[in-house]
Amino acid sequence: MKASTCKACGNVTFPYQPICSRCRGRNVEPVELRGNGRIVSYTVNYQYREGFERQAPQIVALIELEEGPKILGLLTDAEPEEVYEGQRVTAVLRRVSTDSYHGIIYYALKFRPVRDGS
Amino acid sequence: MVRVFLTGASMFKVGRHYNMGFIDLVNEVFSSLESSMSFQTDAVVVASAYPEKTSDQVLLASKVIQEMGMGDNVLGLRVEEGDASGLAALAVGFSLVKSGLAKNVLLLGLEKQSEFPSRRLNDIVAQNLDEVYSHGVGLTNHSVAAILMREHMKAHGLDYEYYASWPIVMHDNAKGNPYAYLDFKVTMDAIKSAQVVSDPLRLFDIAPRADGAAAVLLSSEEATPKNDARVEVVSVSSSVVRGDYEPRLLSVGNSMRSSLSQAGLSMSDVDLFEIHDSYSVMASMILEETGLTPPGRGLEILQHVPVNVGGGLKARGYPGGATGIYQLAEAYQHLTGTFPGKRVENAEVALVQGMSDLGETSFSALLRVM
Repeated sequence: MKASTCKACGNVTFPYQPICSRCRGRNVEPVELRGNGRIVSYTVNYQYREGFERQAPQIVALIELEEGPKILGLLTDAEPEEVYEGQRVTAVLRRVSTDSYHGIIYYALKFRPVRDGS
Repeated sequence: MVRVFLTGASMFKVGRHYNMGFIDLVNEVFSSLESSMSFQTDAVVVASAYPEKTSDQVLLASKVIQEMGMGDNVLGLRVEEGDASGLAALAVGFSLVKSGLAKNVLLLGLEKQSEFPSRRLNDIVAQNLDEVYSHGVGLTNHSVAAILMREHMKAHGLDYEYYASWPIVMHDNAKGNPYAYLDFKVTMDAIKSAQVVSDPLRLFDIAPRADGAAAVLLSSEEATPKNDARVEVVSVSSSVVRGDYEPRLLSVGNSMRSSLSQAGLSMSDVDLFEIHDSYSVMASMILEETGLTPPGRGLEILQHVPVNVGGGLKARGYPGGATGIYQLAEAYQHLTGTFPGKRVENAEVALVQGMSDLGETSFSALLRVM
């Protein structure tokens, strides 16, 4: 997870962009985020997009990463009733959709809860 | 300085027009406008957000110019800025008239969104989301709005009933509006028991996307009839602010304040607001940016100032990129006393606010009777 750290104001912008999202300074350097954070808010979505039927219901969370940025992410390896605000999560690479006609499998980042011992 | 006036408006009922293509829709609004006034069109600016995906169509402005027999020297453009396309088209048309390049510019809002199941439409409108980390992982606009609603509830200690007041008023406003998609009353019980789309967002918290076509004519002062009540487009402003998932809409506040300051007016001078209520929580956050209500209590403004008197996106319907043209057409008809539904009496100043579905970009226009 590549982000940018602003050398002028210290703000971390995710995903990486060459301009700071807070002070608009150009003096930024790339930084690799660890992918760890906590759930700030979440929603269980029952109205999915075409091609994502097998994910329903989706758990979408607003996650505050350790390095500061807040991002939206899909939770995986979790049931809606287990999720709570403040829960620790970590990023993992997972399959998101399959284009059976062209034979392409799409992967992207999702977040799974961090449980004791995991 | 060249002044720009709104000199005509025409709308077609928002709805599920399965039997009509783009040109059929254009024909309805253009022939209605032509029958009510005479004008020579110099330019056509089409506002449409999703025609490539919904109808496999591009080159819409050229097709309109040909099919409507407008002549060989008419400039045709299409403006796409997601669901803010309507007011983005106004910014283009306003510039064409201001610059002297055109005397009459037809702004035409066109969208077709009904011919699909919701999962397909959700996929199309998700094009608005960040390419890699939101669209790419399968998120929907509704989920993003649901998160914002949750954050808004937490920040201001609000319960669900607060938001339910919005669809009740909007549906009530839409009764009598012949162009409204959902012109029926709804009750608190119906809203609270409607299906959950993305918790806490339920069906009535979401503006219903549908097909629509609307047109307004922008004219230079010399092309504006002298004997009518003249509606001037005093200012058009926009703002883009990167979303940070905080429950506020900074782009909206920026664009509205800019429109007002260019006109030398303040929020309390506005007789009528037209706002982009893509979700009830968006309506609240937009109205909070007026500064006329306590923080987190945007919907309370409904008790004091007319807002979305024709039913807004919630009940008039949400025709995507055509929405801003409907807002302009309605505001024009209120200011000229010609709106066929519930009216605002003696309104002289209207603030029209339109935006992308989730509010990253917002446009505002200040209309004033001269």
